[in-house]
Amino acid sequence: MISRAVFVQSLPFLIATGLGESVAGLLFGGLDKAIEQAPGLIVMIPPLIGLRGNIGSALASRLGTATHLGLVSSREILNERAKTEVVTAIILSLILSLLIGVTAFITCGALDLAHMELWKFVFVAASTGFIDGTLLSLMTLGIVFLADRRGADPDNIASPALATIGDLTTLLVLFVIVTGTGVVV
Amino acid sequence: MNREIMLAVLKQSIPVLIVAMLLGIAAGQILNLSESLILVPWVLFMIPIINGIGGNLGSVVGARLASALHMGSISTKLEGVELERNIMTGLALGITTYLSLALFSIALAPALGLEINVEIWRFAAVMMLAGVLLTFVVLATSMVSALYSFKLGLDPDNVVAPLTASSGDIAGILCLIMSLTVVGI
Repeated sequence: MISRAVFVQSLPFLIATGLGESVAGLLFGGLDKAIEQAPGLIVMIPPLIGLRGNIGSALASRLGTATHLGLVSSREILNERAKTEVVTAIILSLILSLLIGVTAFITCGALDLAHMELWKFVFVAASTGFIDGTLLSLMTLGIVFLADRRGADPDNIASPALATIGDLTTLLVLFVIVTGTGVVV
Repeated sequence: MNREIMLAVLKQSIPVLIVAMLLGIAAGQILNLSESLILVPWVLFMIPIINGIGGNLGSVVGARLASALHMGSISTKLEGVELERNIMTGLALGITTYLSLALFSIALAPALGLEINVEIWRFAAVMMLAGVLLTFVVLATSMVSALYSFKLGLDPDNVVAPLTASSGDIAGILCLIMSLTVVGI
């Protein structure tokens, strides 16, 4: 027994997510050579993607709540409260990315696996975390305000949208940093 | 900038984010250890798709179960028509979404420059099998965590989504590895 209403409402959203993730998948696939040449790089990819989703959706739901309470509003985009939320999310991204770099290095060592130098782990994680965290926090703010201005409930839109956008931007920033800076490969 | 709000958010978020990070590193090390199997562009391509859809499916079903528990239309005894309906709908959604994405990927692969160096049916079989396995895992996780958190007096809305998302990332990669082995890649 299947609920047709739920099926019909959720399917387009799930397929759209999948299509968004396909672009993320292409970027991941394009990293195959880099992953081969930079041992240990792959260890950081799932936690970096996950971090983005977690910080982004928490920020979205906090901004959503603040909108409902009238603490932030689309009339004044960057007020004190909104600034505080965004800066906090960026600081969180930076702290956690540093931890991801260090933990990836340590666990590779503990498991006796081939790995690159510590500073490379930290460089990739921290620069991806900072650039992507800033980009995504500002995007979150934008999405919440657009939803609010159009009379939609940000709680229903921002979190799911960010989960997919976050996977995409993380892999995009990571791709540029790994293949573009010449530091890692 | 409000220092008090900032410190409160940092203090509350960091423990949860560290747990999520450690789960992410575990997923990363599983990828690292199975590098010979997964370091192929089309396999990497599948990872965000499989995990992204699985995570969203889990949160859709989890949110519905949470609402149903709050409204008393299902009991915490793991039975009932409503529970069965949610699970069956989740399964139907998972199968349809993964099948659509497998077909889209195959159709668009030449245009996207995605090189599939195995028979097309194997590519489709790997994605479908991994996706359906993950759907079972995600549905079981969201169902059990929704019922138990409700029994323990916690709000399932706060527990189910983050738990399903983090455990889903590891489960997704394990399902993919299992599926690659079964299909004989």
